[in-house]
Amino acid sequence: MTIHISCQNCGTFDIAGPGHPAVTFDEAAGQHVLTDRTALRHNHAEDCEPHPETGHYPLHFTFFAAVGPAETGPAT
Amino acid sequence: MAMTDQALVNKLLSALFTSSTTFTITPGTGGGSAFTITPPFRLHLFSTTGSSTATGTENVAGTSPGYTSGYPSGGLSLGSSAFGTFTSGASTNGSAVTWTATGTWTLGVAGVEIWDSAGTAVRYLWGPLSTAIGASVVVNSDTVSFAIGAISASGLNW
Repeated sequence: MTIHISCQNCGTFDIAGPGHPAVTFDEAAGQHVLTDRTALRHNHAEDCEPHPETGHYPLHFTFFAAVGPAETGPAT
Repeated sequence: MAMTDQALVNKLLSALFTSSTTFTITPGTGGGSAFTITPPFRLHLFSTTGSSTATGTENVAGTSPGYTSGYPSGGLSLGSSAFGTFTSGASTNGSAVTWTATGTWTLGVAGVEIWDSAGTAVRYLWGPLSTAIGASVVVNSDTVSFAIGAISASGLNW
C-alpha cells in the first residue's frame, strides 16, 4: 500500500501510503494517491542540491502493483 | 470464487510468464484459434487503470515526458523471463524497470498493464498501483521504477 521515495542526492528515504501527509484518498478511484511531493520527508543535507533547471530535488520513486489476468484482446 | 486447481494455475502461469521464446498453443478440434505467446512481456503505465475486460488510459510522452507509449514497443521490457515460477498461484517480476522523467508528468500514474511483444500486442495482466501517484508529482530528472519483486501477479481468482 505504499510508494518508496528516496532523494537521488542525499538518499533521504520516505514511505508514502495511507496516513502519510503527502497522500490523499481518491474516492472515485478507490485508491490512495501521492499528491504532494512537498510533504515528503526530505531532510536536506548540505550537499543536497536541487536540479539546476527545475529547482526540485531529484527523487527516485519505487512503485508497487498487484496484477491479475486480463481477458486478452488486440492492441488499441 | 476460484474454480481452477491451483497446481494447474501454477503450471499455466509459469508456462506463460517464464518463457523467453515465442510459442503457440493449438486447441483441439472445435477449441478455437491457435494462441501465440510472444515474449518479452512489457510493462506499461496507465493514468486510468483498466479492468479485466478493457484496457485503461496509457500514459503518453506528451504528458509523461520520458515515457514511451504504444504497442508493441512502448513501455519497458520485463526481461527474458518476466516472472519467476508461480507457486500458490502467484509470482513476482524478476527484472527491475526504470523510467527517467525529462519533464513534469502532468498526468499521474494509477495502474499498470503487461502486454506481450507481438506485432498485434496482446494484453495479459492489469492492476492498480498499491498507492498511485498524482498529477505533477513526478518532475524532470526524477526516476520512476519497479524493483525486482515489486509487481505481484496472481491467478488465484481464476
